Amino acid sequence: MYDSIQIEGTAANWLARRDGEGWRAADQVELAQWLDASTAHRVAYIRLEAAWRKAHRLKALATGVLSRPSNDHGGVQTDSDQRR
Amino acid sequence: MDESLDAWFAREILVHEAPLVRYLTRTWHARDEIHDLRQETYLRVYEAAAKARPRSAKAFLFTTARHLLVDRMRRQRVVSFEPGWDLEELNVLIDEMSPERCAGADEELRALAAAFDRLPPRCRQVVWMRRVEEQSQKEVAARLGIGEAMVEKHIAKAMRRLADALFGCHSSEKPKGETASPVREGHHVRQHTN
Repeated sequence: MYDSIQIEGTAANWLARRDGEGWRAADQVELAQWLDASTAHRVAYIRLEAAWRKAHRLKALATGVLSRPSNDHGGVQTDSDQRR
Repeated sequence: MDESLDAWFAREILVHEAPLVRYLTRTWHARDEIHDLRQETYLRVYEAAAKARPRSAKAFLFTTARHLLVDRMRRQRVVSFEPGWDLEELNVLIDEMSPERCAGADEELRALAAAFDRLPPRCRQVVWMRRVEEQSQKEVAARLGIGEAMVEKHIAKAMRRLADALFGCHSSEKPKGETASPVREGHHVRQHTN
């Protein structure tokens, strides 16, 4: 396994933790240390964070911009596959 | 320049990930090193931009990638590039790279939707509840009857998949072991990062 993949995994774990309720000031300090430790950490983190922020747009799907979810929270059907 | 470097990086650099990965994949001999090369390119761009932002982000990104490949090649004494390969060709390839293939908002939304659809069922449920219904991780855990650590795990996994889809534009490419979409670029290899 390459370092870059491992780093991406760690960055994802940090972001998922920060997304939860148990996030404390001490965690923030620890995260800052991890980010400062290497630019490789930072760029991996920025990338995933930007993607997670964009995932907010899934809401647009839910309100029918492209399509509607097929059931309660099972999934979103799109016509993109048929088009390609 | 009051904009933060991180925001600049996300806006100006990450949008070129798809052509960057295509460039690396076409040019480098070892497919399993593409992820690493991509990250190393990002790292170099970020560190250079911390000192001075380049005028053209895209040109700088590809020049950085090319320098990285040349460095690696020298270090590894690689001679196994495609026949006829030379430094000039690297330049040509950069020019060939199409601009942001999924820069449009609609295109991005479709990529997001397609990536979301491909998430494993439980992972998809978690993302839906957290990101669309905006329930807290704690609420998601309670509703699904799983631990909060498990919710976190699903979210971490989803982030990586969604990032690949959004920046790498992998939405139209066939992931391993899933239903095929019509073959497009036969030689294009998708990087699996999970």
